[in-house]
Amino acid sequence: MADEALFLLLHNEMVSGVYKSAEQGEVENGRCITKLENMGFRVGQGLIERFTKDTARFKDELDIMKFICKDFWTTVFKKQIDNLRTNHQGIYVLQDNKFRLLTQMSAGKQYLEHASKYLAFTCGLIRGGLSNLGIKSIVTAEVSSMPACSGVHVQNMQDCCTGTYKAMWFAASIPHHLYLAFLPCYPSQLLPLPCPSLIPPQQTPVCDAPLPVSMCSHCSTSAYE
Amino acid sequence: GANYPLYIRSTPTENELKFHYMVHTSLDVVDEKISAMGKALVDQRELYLGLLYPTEDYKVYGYVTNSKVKFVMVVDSSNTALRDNEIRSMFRKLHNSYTDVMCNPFYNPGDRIQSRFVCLGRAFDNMVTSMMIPVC
Repeated sequence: MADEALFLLLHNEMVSGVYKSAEQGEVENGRCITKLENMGFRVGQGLIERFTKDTARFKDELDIMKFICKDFWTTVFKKQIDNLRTNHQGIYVLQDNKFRLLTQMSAGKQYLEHASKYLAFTCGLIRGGLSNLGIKSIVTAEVSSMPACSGVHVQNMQDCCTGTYKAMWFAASIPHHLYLAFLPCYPSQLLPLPCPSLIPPQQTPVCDAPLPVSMCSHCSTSAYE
Repeated sequence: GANYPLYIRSTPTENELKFHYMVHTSLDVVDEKISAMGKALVDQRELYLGLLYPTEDYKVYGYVTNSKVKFVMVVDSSNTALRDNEIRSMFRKLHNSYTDVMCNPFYNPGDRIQSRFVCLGRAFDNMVTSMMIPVC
């Protein structure tokens, strides 16, 4: 289990390192999120190359998103995405009820305003992975209550020259996991939860008609400043 | 998407331009095969594409990764000893080495893979050298 802690601690230091250098004037404050996201992007590119080396060829976009939710998420965060929804028009919502990078932070609303800093890298990770698989996307994240029942919004974009894009929405209402505050690092080991299986999109409520990009910012925390 | 080569190498080095041309024309065949796969009723999930097309003197093989990187191999037709299994394993080696390059933080995705950058392109180049059979 030690290897999980390694990445978690490194990631926390990375975030605080970027913000510290911002205070010292090396990086403008607003660019910290972008910097973290870009780091995630490059890492995502390399990771996806390694992870897809021995997999079969992906059939379509949904196949790729399922891979991200299952294999990719499991390899990086040691658990699957809890819920995947899509409107079949380019928007996917990935819901993680206990996002590993946030579980140590709080079990409710405390530190919510800082959550976006700790999600930027992961947004980049997904965007980088998708980019190398041939999908241009915008990835945003939303946290309504710690520890991360955070939804990740993947917004799929066509080539700019065609002038069309699809927007995707994730909506996640996450239950409030109070008990996590009192348990050591890996609560799932002490309180085995029924593992929510990956819900195929056809069975879940489909989101409303795609929203244009400008309406994205109803997220409680935006991934971009 | 862009179809410029990240890496191209041939032995012997004369007539290099001919090989460049063959590889370039084979890209169309690769694209055909990929799009045919998407529509085929049969699930073709392999990364290895097999023989793309034979010419009088050469056989051209293809392999496309999930990350849309295309590997093309041109083999002398007279080399009948080289079997499908061996071609596949050569592609696997190429793919593994390419993955290593991709994970190197000093490699900028989309750049050419050049051996003058030690520990970056050189390992890839050496791997390719080890696979190439010298022509007597």
